[in-house]
Amino acid sequence: MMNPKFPLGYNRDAADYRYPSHRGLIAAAPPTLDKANHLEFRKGVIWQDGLGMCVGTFLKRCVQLWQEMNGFKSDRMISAKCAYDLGRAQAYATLDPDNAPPLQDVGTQPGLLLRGAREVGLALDSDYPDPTSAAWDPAKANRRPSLDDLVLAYNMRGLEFSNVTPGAFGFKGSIRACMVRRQPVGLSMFVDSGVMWNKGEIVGAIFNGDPDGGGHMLTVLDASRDDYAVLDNWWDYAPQGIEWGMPDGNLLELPRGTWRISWGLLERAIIQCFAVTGVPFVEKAAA
Amino acid sequence: MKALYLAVLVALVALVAGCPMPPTPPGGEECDAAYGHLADVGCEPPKPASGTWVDVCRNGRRNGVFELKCLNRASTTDALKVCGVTCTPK
Repeated sequence: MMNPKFPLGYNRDAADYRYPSHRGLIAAAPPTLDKANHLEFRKGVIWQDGLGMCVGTFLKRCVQLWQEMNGFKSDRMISAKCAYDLGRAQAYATLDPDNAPPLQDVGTQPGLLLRGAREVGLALDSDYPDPTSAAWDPAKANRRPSLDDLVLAYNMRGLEFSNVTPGAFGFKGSIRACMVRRQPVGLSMFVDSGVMWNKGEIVGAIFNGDPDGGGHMLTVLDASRDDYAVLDNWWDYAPQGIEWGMPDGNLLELPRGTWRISWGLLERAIIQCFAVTGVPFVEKAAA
Repeated sequence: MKALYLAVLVALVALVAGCPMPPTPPGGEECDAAYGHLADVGCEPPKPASGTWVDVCRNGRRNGVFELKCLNRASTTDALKVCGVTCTPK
């Protein structure tokens, strides 16, 4: 069974939204990885089902990579759904919470989601189930976090992130500069049908007028090669028989759910780009 | 006006649920009032490893994600059940 629906999940930040720059990170720390390749640190399945929560899944992968690369266990992953819900709720942060409208599955802006993760916190997926969890309940797709959820999230506030902007060597140089400093990088771009059903070829063109396409958010796994980058994705979940991206057994031996895109195209396609620079200690709150 | 509304609301809920009357909200701050109410009826609110329940409540409200009024939650029988306090609805 193929997933026929492309969940639109990425919405561009408001023009006046401001982030800290990744340049401060680069100035503060020397590289500690030889290559801008995080493939060996990627663990665990991440799946967004039919929800527009790609901004949450991007953060989930970045947090997992950050932990794995910085000396922490990453087997207890954060909840992408909780991050998504908090991000959507952030859209109404200026309203009295009791007067805020119900959440809708219309995606979110990375600035809102990252701010929610920083200010309100993160939850583990064991406490706030993602679609890959046996405890996942589709009926709760648009629920708001409860007080108990907020209590858990409160202990994991303080996520740090930066905006990655192109420098003298374009996005490639800036992304590499973050990745060799053990900072995972995510990016947003328009994804068309050709990308969706990609089966291993290097994507070299995207039709921006494709009515079946939409804004998507992904994590960079390998930026070390000069010809293409390897990106992670969240639509491939083998137990559900849903495939997207490279299948198993391809000649490149890349893991399922990843795909390749030429740097020439990626440099033009990136809408926004972020580095996760600091992750709070992810631990279940004391009972 | 808001404080008066809250006081009336709490009184009504308390009457219906047969719960003790909560203390007067100090300055109308709902999180403090809710915590005071829970303490008054002998509840132990959920505590995070850091901070206090009131801090969590305020943080949630400040960031626009608190779906239930603290006071309302603290005044319902469900919340009291969570805290292990028995209320007999009339």
